[in-house]
Amino acid sequence: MSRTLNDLRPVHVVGIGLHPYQAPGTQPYTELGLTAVRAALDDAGIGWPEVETAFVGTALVAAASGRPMLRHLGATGTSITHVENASASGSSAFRQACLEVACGVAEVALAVGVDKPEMRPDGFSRAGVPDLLPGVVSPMTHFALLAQSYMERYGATPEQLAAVAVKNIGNAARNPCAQRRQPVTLAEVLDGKPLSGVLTRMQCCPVGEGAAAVIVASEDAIARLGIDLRRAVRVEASVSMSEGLYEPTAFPDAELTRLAVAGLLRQSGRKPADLDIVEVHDAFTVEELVYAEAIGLAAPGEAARAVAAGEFDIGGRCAVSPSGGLLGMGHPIGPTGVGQIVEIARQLRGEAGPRQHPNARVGLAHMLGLGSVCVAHLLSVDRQA
Amino acid sequence: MSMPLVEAAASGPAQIRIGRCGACGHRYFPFQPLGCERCGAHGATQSPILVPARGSVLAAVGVWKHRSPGIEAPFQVADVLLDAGVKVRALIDADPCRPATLGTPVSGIVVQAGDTPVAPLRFTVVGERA
Repeated sequence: MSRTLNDLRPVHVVGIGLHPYQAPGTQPYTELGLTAVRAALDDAGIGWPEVETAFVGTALVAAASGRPMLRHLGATGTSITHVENASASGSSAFRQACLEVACGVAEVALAVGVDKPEMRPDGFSRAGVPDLLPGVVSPMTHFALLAQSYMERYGATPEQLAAVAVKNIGNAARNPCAQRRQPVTLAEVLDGKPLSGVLTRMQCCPVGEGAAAVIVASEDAIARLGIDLRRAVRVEASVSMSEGLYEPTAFPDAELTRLAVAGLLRQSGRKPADLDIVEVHDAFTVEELVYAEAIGLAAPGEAARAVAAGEFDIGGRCAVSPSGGLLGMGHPIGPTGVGQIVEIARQLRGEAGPRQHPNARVGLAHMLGLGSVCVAHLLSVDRQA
Repeated sequence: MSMPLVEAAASGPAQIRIGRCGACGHRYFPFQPLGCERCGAHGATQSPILVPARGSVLAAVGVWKHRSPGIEAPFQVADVLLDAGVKVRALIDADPCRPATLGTPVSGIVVQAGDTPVAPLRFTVVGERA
């Protein structure tokens, strides 16, 4: 019988680091990644030789990008594995790092996401299966269709969708590592250049470059290395699923999310009401609404009302995308899922500064990758209110 | 694998080539012999079937910005649930400013493709939503 992460020995996030997400530039990916990894090592208070295994989440920058980057920390002979899972590459890298520690294969592991936005063909375009509209339906149009369907099904309005961008970009304005740092008004979102359906520019995530790194460790390693256990964040549960066959009228990504998160909550014995922090794959505004409902934060068709009521604000019932999410912090692809873990750990430690959600103890990270795949994690701290 | 996705009909709507799994009965688009998504049966168990390009809109949007070759924006794209029970994503020959709404009946015709990888199928609205 297969076992889940929380059947194995405990795993804790002990170090976090970022290179700010930014518009594409000339900086090599190695600089981006090393900045994030060194910050994570400093945060953990350990040296690179303590890291026994490294998972590099990347989808765009290049094949075999790990060793040319990580060798500059010292060629210790550490295991390096590359993880490509489209937008969920970083999330899967984090999952693999956690699993190696949980299984006892390693005591200390690194997950690092790094990318630069080079356009590469996806698997569907090379699958040998024909398509009526090859190359025509971009992710933006795919989610514009979802937005239209959601609005018609539930009576939601373009203004309600745009409010998600106002909230998340507002959060990003308080995040020094975010790509979008200027708050926007509802009018500015709605009056932006229309791209597809009701989606305007500010309702679509910026795809830039950056890096995120997380160090995870066993409790044995935490004790042996003298890591501050009070700043450690437990990784309670981990789920990775791919899309199944659903009814033609279903929202496939939402249905996949619903199933994955249900499994995640079941593993940890938690309920949606336990969640203080949620970082979702909000690449397009409508996604936050449908995934919030799929996670169980709102009844079907009710997430827009919850956003309007401030329930998903920092300081609200559950802070959704307090980092700014993909819409505000940005979506550099490989780093994004690792960056979600960085934000959740920061929030659960109480170290998120001006965007700190009060009394945050349980957080959920959710990413989708093209295909679709869904990778989700649940993190917690024991700290009492 | 090289069979066309759509064919013109002598009368009525175009025909769309869907697949049917002989092992489990699952219907899907497009036809391919690589394997059934429901049961994994493959090869000769998978059969192409021509069904009418007729159905109703699940969602439609106008696309205002598009950079890939083969088509120029603006255009209207839709998810259509065929009467045969299979969902396809295709172009609607209509004003992108007025996207077809949920349940709008549509019918497809084969058009002159020109030098483009986009399949020569265009749906048109053929009535009011039920």
